[in-house]
Amino acid sequence: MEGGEWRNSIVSQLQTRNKYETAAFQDIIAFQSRLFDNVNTLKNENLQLTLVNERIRFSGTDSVITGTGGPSNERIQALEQKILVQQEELTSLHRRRGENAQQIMSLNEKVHDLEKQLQAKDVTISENTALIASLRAEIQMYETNMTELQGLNQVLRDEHQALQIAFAAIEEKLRKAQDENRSLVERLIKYKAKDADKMNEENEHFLK
Amino acid sequence: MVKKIEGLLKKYVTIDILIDISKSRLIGTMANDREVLREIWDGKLPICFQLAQEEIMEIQQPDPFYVMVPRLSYFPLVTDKMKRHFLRYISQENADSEMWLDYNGQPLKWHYPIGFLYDLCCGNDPQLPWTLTVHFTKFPEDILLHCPNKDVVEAHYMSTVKEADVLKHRGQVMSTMQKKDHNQLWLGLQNDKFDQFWAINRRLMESHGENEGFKHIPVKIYSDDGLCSQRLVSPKNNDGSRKTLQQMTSELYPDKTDVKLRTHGVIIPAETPLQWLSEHLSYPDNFLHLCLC
Repeated sequence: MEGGEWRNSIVSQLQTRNKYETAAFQDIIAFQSRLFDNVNTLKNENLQLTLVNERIRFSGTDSVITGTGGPSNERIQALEQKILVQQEELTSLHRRRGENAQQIMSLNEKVHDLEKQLQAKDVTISENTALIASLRAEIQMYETNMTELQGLNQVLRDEHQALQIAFAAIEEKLRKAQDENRSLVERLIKYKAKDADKMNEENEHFLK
Repeated sequence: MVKKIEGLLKKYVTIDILIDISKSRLIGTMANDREVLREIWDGKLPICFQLAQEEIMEIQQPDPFYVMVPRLSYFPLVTDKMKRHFLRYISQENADSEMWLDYNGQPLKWHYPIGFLYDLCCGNDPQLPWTLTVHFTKFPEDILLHCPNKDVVEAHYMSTVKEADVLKHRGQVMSTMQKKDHNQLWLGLQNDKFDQFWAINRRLMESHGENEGFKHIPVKIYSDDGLCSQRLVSPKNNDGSRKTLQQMTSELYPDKTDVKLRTHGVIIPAETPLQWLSEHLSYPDNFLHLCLC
């Protein structure tokens, strides 16, 4: 450790300080605070006892008139006991009441919150129903549209079929006409060949 | 042959130097003189709280409230029980208003450590137990800060520690600590747990980097009338030697010759090095609070 004159001086000053400021007062103040607490508890106890005493005197006046020393004392003790028990019950009930009030408050708050939530949900639900209705209408529209288109499609298909048949018939006619044409051309060629042959023969004769 | 011997000699000399350096480094980083720290931590003050006469609303005079409080703590942390005691004697409409303390008509600032307030008020004229007056009305708005709960004290304490750390290590130590370390520091102080507190605080008291010592010394010097002056003080002189308290006071107060400074109820010897002073005699907020006397 570092050290020197100054360190020793500081340590010894600190030790004197603690001796003078702390150690000298520690015990007496601890003792004082203990006494202080004791006085407080005793004061409270005293207050309670005077209360109890007062009540007993109040309720005891009639019993003193009727009863004699021995049993009335016992009765007073019993009553004291009873009062104590009831006081305890009362305090516990008070506490319960406080707790309940607290609970009610918190529950009320909760209810409020939930109501708010409910309102918000209602709003969303109505929005959603409106949306659903509009979507339904749209669906309806599209459905009608589709049936129309299907009808149209059917018509077109029928027409197409009819045209197909007509086309086939015409094609058949065309083929026949072509055949006829071909046979006619063949025949024409044949006749022409015959003519040519004849002309050739005539020419030979002529030349001779 | 001669050259060889010279070479050997050089080697030895360098080794000696190395050993010297490592020794000084050991002292530098080991600087936690537990004996001093413990004596400071254990310092407590006897305090007698009395309710201001004009606020008593009961026929019966309230008893004064005596208590021992740690010198390093703050008033809002130790006055709960006292407040409960006096609440019975004041009028109900003031029961919720903020409590404040005065000594000889001078309001006490709760954001200073208790021991420092005592040194400031009664350093030259010790009067124990220290008698303070408790008020619930007429809060001196222009002198005191409001303190609605202990979180405010914690916030103030943490910000002061951060300020000190910025002066010492450019704020590097505090920013590398975790939230739980900050909590441990505060709880250690609040619950008067020396080991818990110092486990964290010693990291704030370590020196970093190649040069031994802090960047600057966090120090606040107060004159008798409670005025605070805070200057940038380096722990070293220009030639690199350790600066002592004497040298700092002659720099700050060139026209005064015999300046004495008190902290923790102790007059500091003039030749004490500032670095050591800051490491050991700082309050938990990492500042040296010195009173001129």
